[in-house]
Amino acid sequence: MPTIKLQSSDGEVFPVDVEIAKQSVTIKTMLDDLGMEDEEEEIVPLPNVNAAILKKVIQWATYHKDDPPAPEDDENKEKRTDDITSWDADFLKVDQGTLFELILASNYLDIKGLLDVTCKTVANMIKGKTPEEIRKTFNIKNDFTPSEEEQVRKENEWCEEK
Amino acid sequence: MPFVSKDWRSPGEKWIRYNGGWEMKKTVWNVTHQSNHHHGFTFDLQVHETGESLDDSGSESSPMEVGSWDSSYSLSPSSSPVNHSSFKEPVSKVSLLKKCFTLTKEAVKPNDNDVKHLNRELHLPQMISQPYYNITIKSTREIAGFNGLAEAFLRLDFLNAVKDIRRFNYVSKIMYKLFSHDRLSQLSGAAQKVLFRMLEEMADMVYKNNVNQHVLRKLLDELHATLSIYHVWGTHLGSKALFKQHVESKRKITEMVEKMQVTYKQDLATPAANLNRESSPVNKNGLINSLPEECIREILLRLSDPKDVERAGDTCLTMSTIAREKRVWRELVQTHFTKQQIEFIMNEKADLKGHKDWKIIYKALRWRFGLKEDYTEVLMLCRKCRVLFWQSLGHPCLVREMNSSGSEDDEDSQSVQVESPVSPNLFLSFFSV
Repeated sequence: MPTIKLQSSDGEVFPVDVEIAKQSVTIKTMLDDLGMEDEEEEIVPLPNVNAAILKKVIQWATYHKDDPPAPEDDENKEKRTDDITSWDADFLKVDQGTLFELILASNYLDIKGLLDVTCKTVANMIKGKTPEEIRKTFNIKNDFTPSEEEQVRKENEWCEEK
Repeated sequence: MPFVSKDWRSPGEKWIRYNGGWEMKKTVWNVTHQSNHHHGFTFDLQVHETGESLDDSGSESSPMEVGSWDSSYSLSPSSSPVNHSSFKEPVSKVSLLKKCFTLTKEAVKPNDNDVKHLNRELHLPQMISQPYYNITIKSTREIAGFNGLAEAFLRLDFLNAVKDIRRFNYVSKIMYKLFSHDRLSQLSGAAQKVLFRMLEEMADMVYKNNVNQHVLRKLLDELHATLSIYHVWGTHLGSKALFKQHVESKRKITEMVEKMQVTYKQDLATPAANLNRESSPVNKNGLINSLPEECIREILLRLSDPKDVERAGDTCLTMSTIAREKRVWRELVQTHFTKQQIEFIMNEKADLKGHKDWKIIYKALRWRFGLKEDYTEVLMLCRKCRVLFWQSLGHPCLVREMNSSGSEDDEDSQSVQVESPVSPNLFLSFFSV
């Protein structure tokens, strides 16, 4: 099986099966555009992803290499944040920093499945929390002016009614 | 003279302790060795396995092994005329016995969890793999008691389902329904016990993962209301001891939740000092600084509850801008309502058609139709073999096995209709609660 070499931002090189690497649309487009020659030992630099994260991404892609392609149809896409397989749930038991970096990496590499599951994980952390709690959980600074805050609260009042 | 009732466990059967309840050994066997139809064979296999594990535990002497020995012993068929190990290595067994006793004297008792864990590792992996439960569908007054809720909870692996993110919502819904409407008093003591254990497991999970606190809080509020009603009227649910146990476990869980909230409040007061106290370490840069807007949008697009979107929008300027975007609300509308519903509301209120404010459309739709109940993973009912099972795990369908030997053509089309999802309400109606 042909392999491709991916280089992380800090210089580490990972040999990966082409089929696995092609789950990243970014890499797939690049390979399709350039044309792959099997003999050449080309190294693909990924300046936005560090070694630790790239390793995790490759681990995820390897596990999901046989997944059927996700349906393109946006209309039927179900919006369930808890639709996470147990393997993915265990895989994503990481600290917040890593989780965010995984989101960034999957966004940059354009891996739909990984982006979906990481975003769902974060969405689950938002679910059911008050704004204060969300701020606390994600270390968000409240940058509203008092008048803005009042306006936002007024706008959202209908949500609180049952 | 006190009336001592008959032991409800039927005579002539062997019963073993399992997951906090009693399980008939025969049923454990049946499930463990489903694939083996020849009964004599399974019997032999069981003896053999038992013998092996006995030998294994003889060679080591950690407290954990006592647990394994205990569990394997209780599983071994007592009616078996021959116990391999006792013939093969009588000395080791005696020494093992001694070891066990001395260990128990030293109060190195394996706790329930260890035993459970070992049970799973040693003997019951096949059984855990596919939980299912046989029920009587057409419940009449005479046979209503045939479906045991406690047994169903255990057989369908609800205790683990609480920890499974896919099944969490479904299970918590059922729990909520049981805690409310005074249903708690209709449940058997065993079912109540399992229910409270589920609640404890849930609290544990919520505390560890820092998600779904609102669900737990809602459950506790409901439970608090129910329990206090009974307190006022001077009666309690089930026996006195059981009721005390319930109150105690409720108190523990409530304390846990309060502790969580206190941590939050303290952290809010001194945000910098308490970063390490959170169960999931907070990223120093925060959500906003470490992610670009498009990623935050992706996250918000995945929220299914409009309240969550609103509350996220309330946190800061960036989030508020994204939360006000049309796209988020359009997606919300499209997930919760069908095309027909949207068209209906558009025709009804002509002014909505013009400016296409999805937030207002959403509001109108919600007033009109309400939100739909939606679960990722539900219990299914196989109408042919009358078995409840989890959708993704499947079940050993007797009918399909029989069919597959005969005509295979129409089997596929049949199985589609045969299995139907079971809503929480329907599930409870099977048990007449």
